[in-house]
Amino acid sequence: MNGTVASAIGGTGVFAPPSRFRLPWSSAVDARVDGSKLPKEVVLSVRDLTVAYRVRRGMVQAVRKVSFDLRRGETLALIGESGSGKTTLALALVRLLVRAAKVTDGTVVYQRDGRAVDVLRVGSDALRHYRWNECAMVFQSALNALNPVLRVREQFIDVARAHGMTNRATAVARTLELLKLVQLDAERVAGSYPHELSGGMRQRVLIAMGLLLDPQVIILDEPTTALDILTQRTVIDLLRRLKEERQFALILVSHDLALAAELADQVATVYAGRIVECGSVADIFYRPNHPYTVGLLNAVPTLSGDFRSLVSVRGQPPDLIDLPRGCSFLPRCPFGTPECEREDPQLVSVVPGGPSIPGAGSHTAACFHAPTVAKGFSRRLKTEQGDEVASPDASAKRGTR
Amino acid sequence: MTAVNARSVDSTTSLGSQAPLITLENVRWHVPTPRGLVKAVDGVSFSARDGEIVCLVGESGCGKTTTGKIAAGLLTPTSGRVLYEGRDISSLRGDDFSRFRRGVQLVHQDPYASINPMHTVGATLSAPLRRHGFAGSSSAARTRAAELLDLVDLTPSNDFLDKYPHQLSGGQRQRVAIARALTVEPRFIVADEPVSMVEVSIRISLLNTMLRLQRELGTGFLFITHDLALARYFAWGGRIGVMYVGRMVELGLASDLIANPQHPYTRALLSAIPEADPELTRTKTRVELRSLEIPSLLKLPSGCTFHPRCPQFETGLCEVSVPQLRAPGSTVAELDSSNVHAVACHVVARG
Repeated sequence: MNGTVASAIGGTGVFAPPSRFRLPWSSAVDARVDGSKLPKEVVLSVRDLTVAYRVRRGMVQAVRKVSFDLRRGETLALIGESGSGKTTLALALVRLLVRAAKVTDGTVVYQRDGRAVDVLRVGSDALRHYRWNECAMVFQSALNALNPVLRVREQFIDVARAHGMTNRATAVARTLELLKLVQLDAERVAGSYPHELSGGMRQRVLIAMGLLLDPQVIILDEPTTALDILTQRTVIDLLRRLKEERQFALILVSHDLALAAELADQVATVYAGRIVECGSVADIFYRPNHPYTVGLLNAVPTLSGDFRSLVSVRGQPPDLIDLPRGCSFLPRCPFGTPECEREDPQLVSVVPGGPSIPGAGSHTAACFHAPTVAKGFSRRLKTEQGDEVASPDASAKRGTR
Repeated sequence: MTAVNARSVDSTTSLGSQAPLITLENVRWHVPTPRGLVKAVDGVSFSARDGEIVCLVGESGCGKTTTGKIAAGLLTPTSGRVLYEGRDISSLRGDDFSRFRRGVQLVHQDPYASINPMHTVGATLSAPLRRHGFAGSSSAARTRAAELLDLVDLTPSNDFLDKYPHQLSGGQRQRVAIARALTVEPRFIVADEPVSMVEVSIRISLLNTMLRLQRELGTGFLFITHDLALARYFAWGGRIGVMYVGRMVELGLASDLIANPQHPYTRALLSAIPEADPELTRTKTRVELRSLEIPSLLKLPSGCTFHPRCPQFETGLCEVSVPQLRAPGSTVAELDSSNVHAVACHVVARG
């Protein structure tokens, strides 16, 4: 795993191909798909993406039939417990999966300037271009993602060279410009080794590096985990400003609901490899329709509002090799009925007749009891008028069911 | 209550149940390093009564873990005293000292490192039970170990007794660590970031278990965390102390401190924390700091260590002398009383 990941992050210096190997995006002829049905503003359109890891005990079904549309300038947050498959999903989008993992089904269609290609089928040169030039991934743990023996400047130049920006002076100028953009002391940071920088600075360096080739899509895996509160705030504010200025689409992988509340336009709850609910940030936080989303929201301590007791989602995440029959959330669900055991609920619109593919303008949930779940929930910390109110205890209601 | 408020810290007079169980008195932990003296903890004072919950909150490097270790007697402060039941722990010998050792237990941050991987859960719990005479025989120890597992919600307990740590999840391991702390029937548990390595969705159930122990067994907690929202939840009936580079800058009732923060640093922290409510978190008023740089422990700013970053900085006041932790409007440090809201800030103290 490390080999693949590291070579995609920036430690590629030695092995970076000369620029003449760089092929334009349009060369990916074999992977071209008919994009005429795709709305123009959609940059990434994922359908039925399925990823499984082969292990001794069997197949780990890490991502199961995930579909969503991501529009230009939009932020999608994937939230869920660790082991829910959200990172695997993100890695599959840039084809950085380890060898033991196989994409067994689905398409990832990327669109730019009216041209659409299936990322899962492009050849290695076009793939190299797609990664970073079109879709950059910023990895979790800024400590490990940077090469400890190279100055920050050299790591930027490596990336630039690997992607065809051969003029060193141009690359350096661009590096300094980006470091300034992420509010760092550009000259000093560029000449520093990673160990000389604090965690927050390293995270900002990585974000700047992600922006180096001006991609349309940026994937951030747990960008604020392990950062102190005030540093976390700087990173959040920075991301918000950058996405307004640059209009890139952002996929945010996090277990932190508060981060999603801060930055996301769309939020998808991922459970056992599936998107079990997806909707606008307001839908998910104020009108959740899936019991797992409700469970997550009921387990988050807050600073505002009245004190209320919290409850964890009971039980353990399922074994992804041997998934429970029917709905995979059933063993932990307070709403379960025999129906849930017979059949795995599909992701459908919670509004009758609404679109069933997650993306802007749709609110979908994979639960037979979605209306009941939605009715039992109320957790607004603030009313429309802006004053804080006591939230009726949704957890108590849940318990009686 | 006034009597309690005015009680000076060094007093050893017993005030019944109101007497602090454990008191830290101006403790310092100064470490000489090749690059200079590191003042990891610089004059921290607070106390906890029997069964009380006190939370220490701060960013990494603020000295909260060191303070916890000093409170648990694992580190001897370079100056200052720790009192247990009114007696300086450094003067305790023999039985008195082991009483303190049993009375104050520590739950470490990382349950993957703090539990011996070669021992079963049953063996991990039996060893202290036998060693400290809480169980006369190995079968009695096993029975008691099963009870302790029930107590920390690892049920059915008999399924867990013969398991090895690698068969448990992070949350389950941390429950074993808590059960192990409970073997010697402590009165006070120092829990250092006990849930930071635990899956977010089950953090709350672990905290709820600890809160139940506090209610049912009367065990007090010193809960160390960087997460103010967690601190607010856990310490709702207790107090929160906010630390900044080695010093306590604010101490008060949890509900009061979160709703009505006084120190500029606490206010900045609270305004910076994202909330799991999109409308609320996007419209929160932020306290802007003058600088984002956390000072080096080797070269601390003069006077109030927060002054280079503080939005309320006043020249000629803040950088001159170190502000003492005290309740606004009063002059004496009143730290061991339960309802005083104390702040270490010149500007706030002036009113």
